[in-house]
Amino acid sequence: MNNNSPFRIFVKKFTARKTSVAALIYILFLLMLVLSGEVLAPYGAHEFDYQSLLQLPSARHLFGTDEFGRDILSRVMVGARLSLTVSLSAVTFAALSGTVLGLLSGYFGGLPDRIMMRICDVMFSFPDIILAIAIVAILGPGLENVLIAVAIFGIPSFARIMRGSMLSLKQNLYVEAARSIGVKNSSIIFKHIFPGAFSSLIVNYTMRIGTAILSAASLSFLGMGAKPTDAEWGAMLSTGRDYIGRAPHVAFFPGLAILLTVLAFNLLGDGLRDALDPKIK
Amino acid sequence: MGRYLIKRLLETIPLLIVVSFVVFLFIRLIPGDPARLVAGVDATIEEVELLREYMGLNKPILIQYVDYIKGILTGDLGTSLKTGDAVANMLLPRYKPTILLAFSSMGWALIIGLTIGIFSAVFRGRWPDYIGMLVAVIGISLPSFWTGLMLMQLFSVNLRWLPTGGLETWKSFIMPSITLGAGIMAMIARFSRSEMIETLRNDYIRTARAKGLNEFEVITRHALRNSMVQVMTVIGLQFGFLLGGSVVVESVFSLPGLGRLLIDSINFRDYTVIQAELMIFSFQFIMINLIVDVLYGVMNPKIRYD
Repeated sequence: MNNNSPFRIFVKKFTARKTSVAALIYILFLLMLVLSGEVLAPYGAHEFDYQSLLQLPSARHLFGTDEFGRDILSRVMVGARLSLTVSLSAVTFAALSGTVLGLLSGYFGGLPDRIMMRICDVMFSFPDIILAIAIVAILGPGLENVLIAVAIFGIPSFARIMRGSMLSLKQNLYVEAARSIGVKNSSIIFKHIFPGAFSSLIVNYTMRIGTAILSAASLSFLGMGAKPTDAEWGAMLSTGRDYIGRAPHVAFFPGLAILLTVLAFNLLGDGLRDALDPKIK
Repeated sequence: MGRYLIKRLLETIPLLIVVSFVVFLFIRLIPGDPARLVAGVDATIEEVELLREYMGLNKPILIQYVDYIKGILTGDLGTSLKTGDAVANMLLPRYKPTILLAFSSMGWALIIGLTIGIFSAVFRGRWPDYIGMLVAVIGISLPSFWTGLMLMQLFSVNLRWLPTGGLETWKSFIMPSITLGAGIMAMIARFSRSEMIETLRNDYIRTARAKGLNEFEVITRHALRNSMVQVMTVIGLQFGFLLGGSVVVESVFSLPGLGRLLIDSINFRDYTVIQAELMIFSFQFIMINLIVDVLYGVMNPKIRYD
């Protein structure tokens, strides 16, 4: 591979930013927990121990224990699965549908485009979390409904960004050339134009994961998402709230996990944005 | 300018109508019969039928919508399913805490955020920039419910400096506004930094430096002024999100504001109150966006005459 290939340049620019590399390593570690949290955790996430309720962090229980004597470190490790899969699936769904909608409406224009943009306007008329709360109020509490809510409010942001990229990219000469030799619209959109819009998609995708984790955890904290018994960071924090004053560690560690994870996705997003931006040398 | 203002106002009206229709449909989207929902499981069929008639549910949907909007325009937001009180009367006293919280959060977020943004831009690539941007990215990533609980543990339980909640004194607002403002502060810092960096690249900045102005004057009189137009837009938009974010923070600190009422109403399935709150939150948000747009037009002639 030659030294000036776009991939080499990308890797060089990305690795120059140490915080983003650290964030990427942390995210890979989290993904490992998602796949095998139970195996790696020192105790079972639902293992009760009535002899050691609300114990402070110690050598035996590094993050302490909760109101049922369960090991908080193990619950945080196992909880990565629920907390991350909900947010990742919601954002992935939002990204896929938003991208297709945005690309199509930007390419074809006309009435469908105008309708879609007005729908986005309506959805942008609610602050994110309020829209999510309204959707959960209609569908009822539960993690599946939180996933749907977070996915729905993510769609317009992807649709707008992809539409914007499409509008500027479709002016290019190579698109005109492809059209004039009779390439099908679907090939032009997905083979010729989409790769050009990919960098803005990937940056928005990474950034939205942070927002999704925060929203899903907020909904669980408000009692609309995961069940209090679930090993999920937002729900753990919500139960920990009752022990503020007596045993603050019960809320501290799940919250710290949320903070670090959102921070990692934001730092990764910053790194990707800079590495993919040709203006930044 | 007049034409631009009228154009923006005219664009907003259809949006308000559609949004209000969506919110109006809200109670009808909940699975099950709205009249049964309101009457409760113990009500007889006759009672449910009477209620259906009273709620106007037998009328065509568009007529119901028009009646609902007529009610809103005369200040009638319906009655609470839980308490039987007029929803409008329940909402009014809730405004004060939410507005106070929003302004106090925005106040400190603006001062600190701008300071960090300016310092980071001026010292770009050096340690004040790294520290500033690290603070900002942490601010954006903080889960507000966690920050709130941790502040409570430190300042109320351990140090006993501040009350855990309530509305008794101005001190009650310190922790909630720190919690709510952290994310906004971070957004302002990040945005004002990138705007300042762009502005500092301009020729007129070089001219100002060349004619011998000191760096402080270059930054405050030339760069800051020109960056502020964009920064103000972000601040305005964030204000709308602030009102939404108050939902979580008011719950953490038991502040009796609009956000807290929304969560309580959801827990009690008080759908008329939820509907009224959704209407208020979305209308506020749309109006704030409109005001920001208009102000942006006032400050930036390029937009206005397009």
